[in-house]
Amino acid sequence: MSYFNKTNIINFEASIIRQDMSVIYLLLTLSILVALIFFIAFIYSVKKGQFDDSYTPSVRMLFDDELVTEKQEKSTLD
Amino acid sequence: MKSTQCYHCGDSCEDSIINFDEKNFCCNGCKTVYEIFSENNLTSYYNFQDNPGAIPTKIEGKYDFLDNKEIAAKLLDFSDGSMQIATLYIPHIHCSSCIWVLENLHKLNSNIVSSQVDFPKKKVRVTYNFNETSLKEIVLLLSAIGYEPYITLEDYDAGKKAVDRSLIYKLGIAGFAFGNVMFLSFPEYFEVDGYWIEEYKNIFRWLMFFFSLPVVFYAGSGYFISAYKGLRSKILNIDVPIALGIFVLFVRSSVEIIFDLGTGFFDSLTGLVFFLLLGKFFQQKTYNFLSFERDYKSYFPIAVTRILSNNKEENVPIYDIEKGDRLLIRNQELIPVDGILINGNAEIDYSFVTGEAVPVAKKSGDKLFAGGKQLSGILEMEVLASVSQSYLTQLWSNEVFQKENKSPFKTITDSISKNFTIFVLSIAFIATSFWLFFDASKALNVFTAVLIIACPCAIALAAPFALGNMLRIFGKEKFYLKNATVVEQLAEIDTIIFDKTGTLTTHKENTISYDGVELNQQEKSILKSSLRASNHPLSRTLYSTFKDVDVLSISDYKEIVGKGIEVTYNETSLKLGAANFVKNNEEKATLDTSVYISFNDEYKGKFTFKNSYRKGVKSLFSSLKKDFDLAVVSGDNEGERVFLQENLPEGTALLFNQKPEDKLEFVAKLQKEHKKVVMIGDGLNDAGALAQSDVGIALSENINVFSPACDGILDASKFSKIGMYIHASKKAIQIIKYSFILSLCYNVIGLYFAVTGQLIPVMAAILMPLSSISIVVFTTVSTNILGRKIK
Repeated sequence: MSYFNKTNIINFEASIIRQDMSVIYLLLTLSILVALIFFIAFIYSVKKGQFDDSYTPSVRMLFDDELVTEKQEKSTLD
Repeated sequence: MKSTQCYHCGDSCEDSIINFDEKNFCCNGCKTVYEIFSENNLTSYYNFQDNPGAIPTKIEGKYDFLDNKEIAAKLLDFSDGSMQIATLYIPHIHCSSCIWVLENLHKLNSNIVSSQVDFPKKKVRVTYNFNETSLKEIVLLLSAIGYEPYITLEDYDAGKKAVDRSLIYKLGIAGFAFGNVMFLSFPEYFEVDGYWIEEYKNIFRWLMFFFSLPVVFYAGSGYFISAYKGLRSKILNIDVPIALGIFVLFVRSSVEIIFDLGTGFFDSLTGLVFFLLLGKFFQQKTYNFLSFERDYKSYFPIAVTRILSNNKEENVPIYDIEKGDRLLIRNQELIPVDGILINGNAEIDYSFVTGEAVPVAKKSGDKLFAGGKQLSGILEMEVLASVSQSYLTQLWSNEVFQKENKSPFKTITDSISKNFTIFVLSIAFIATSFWLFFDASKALNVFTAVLIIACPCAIALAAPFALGNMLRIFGKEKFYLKNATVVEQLAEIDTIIFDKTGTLTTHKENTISYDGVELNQQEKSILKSSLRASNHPLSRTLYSTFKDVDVLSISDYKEIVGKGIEVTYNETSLKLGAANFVKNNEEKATLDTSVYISFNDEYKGKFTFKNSYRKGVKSLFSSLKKDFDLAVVSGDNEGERVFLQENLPEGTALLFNQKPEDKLEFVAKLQKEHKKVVMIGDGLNDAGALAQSDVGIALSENINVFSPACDGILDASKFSKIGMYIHASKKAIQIIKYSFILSLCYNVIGLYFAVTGQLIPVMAAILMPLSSISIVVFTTVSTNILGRKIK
């Protein structure tokens, strides 16, 4: 009996398919998991009120830090 | 004369420049704020925006009521252990400097833990340690730096409003499911014939099924509820075919995957709900800083000072005031109830109520009405009626203010949806019965396919996007509407009613005419110098008319509140003020407001003040005349009738001496004649008419502060554009009609495939978003073109 008999070939093909499939399962699970993480983060941020005011944070972000303010203070006193 | 700008508030410093730290200030108030900031290293306040500040107002005793723990507790969001959180509405918030300084409050008072600004709502949320400081101290601090909070009776009984975020949740869920279902449908779109896809496609399909569950049962639930409500009241609204479409899509898709017949339409299903919700979201343009639901509560103070029988003062909530109580009203405070003036000099400004800005003088024994603002000194009054029983506030017990009474407006979408639904259902039944004879196996397939493809997604999207965009365009033009339906209602208007005082006229400008003996240069100088010392609004207005006159230093100055001013300069004495004060005789009551003057007891003449009409009133009326019935209703006397008759086009109805209820009745009478009425008013006395009318528009000089309940708020500077806005609304409705035609074309194409039994999921998945997106593009582009025209 040679190694390349029919049953072996079928078994071999099947094992390749099964490996393929496990990758699909893995990918599906992972992708849905990642999507779910973002989804939960979204729900959480809505609940915390982050979508209530979409303007003020954009301005607040541009304010200088304390240190810079003090420097400016000195220069006006000079 | 070169005017210098105040470094703090940007006002021009006309006569008194205060120089401090090499900067110019217009008054001591502004200088003090600057000092506070510079001492606390907060001068970067002036770096974000030029002249960001406001002149701090004098507030002695105004916030004493916050000492009363019960009243203060009503204003808190949260109180626990040593922490309290309060949210305060500050109308002055307008730029990034404001945000910056208000979020650095902890540098001014170390017991403030944090403060956070909500710019669109003009609110600041302060967290502080209440063992060390109090709400009153914080309010006083804010007032001292020019950010006086606005605390009204509305804050008192407003429970903690729950924010409704359900639309964002629904949109998020639908979007999430839509994306994932699309991704899972890809293999079948491309008809990959791989052996493994064939074998394991079920896992894909069942995943899609599970993703669609929250979309149908949560995100889409609003459509089922609305359709059910519509059917119960026998209206085929647009949500009926939508709900039918969602239902059929879900059932057919589930059946297909359960019996392994096909892949189902889960992609179309989730996409449909997602797009519909997106339309809803877009339509929901809210102006957070405006309120369209105001009643007298937003004007009235929360507490007032009551004088007890032993002459002690106490702060009581407004609702606790009873008939017979004695109240103390300070300068700049609002009179909350009807009463009788006991003593004190009353100069009452009724501009919130009538729009008339010139204050009225009252003497003891006179009746005072709720809603007036005291302008000079302290007064004592005896209460005649409790808050809800007062002359003005009684208006709100009228049934117009019980909201449910307004008959629901039938929107353009709802009116087309009836015919549409009947049409689609009949096609579905005809096609099904045809297939029952021809090939019965396909009948059910065709029936569901018709309902799926005819789901009026594009029709349902046309109005939200067109009207939502119009709302934004109007908003940019300072015309703020409550919601999208107002645009549709505005398009049907055929009658326009104007209030006179404060609406057609402006209290920002007065025309002053002099009637009497010509004054010489020296007399003018004395007059100007005396006016300069006076704080009375009429003096201020009159003062600004003497531009090229020198100022003298006058020695003897006496202001008799409620009467006038007495001045001596060298040998000349001047009296100016009310008729009985200057001329010593009661002149027959005239219809106008006048200031009389006499030199050395010799009567010289009088200055008469008239509210001037807004620019463009005449041309606005003549342009509106063609398309609308016009009317002017006024609470004032007939003094202006002749002038209005001469200047307004013929046929304009003029009504005078109208009480607030009369205005309401007038609107109601026109509506009985099947007129669609828009009421344009400004004061609280128009509130009834504004509520009764089909569209009530409040005209406001300062949109942040005062406007009665209405459907829209118009900035006074855009008054002359009203006609243009109404025409733009009509055009917007036409745009919607064109998009209906466009979307019907898509439906016809879809129906062809559905009726012939050739509908495959990928076709539906392409056709539905394609039609939706093209409608969105069409309406947005065309409304933007329309918007450019009204600029």
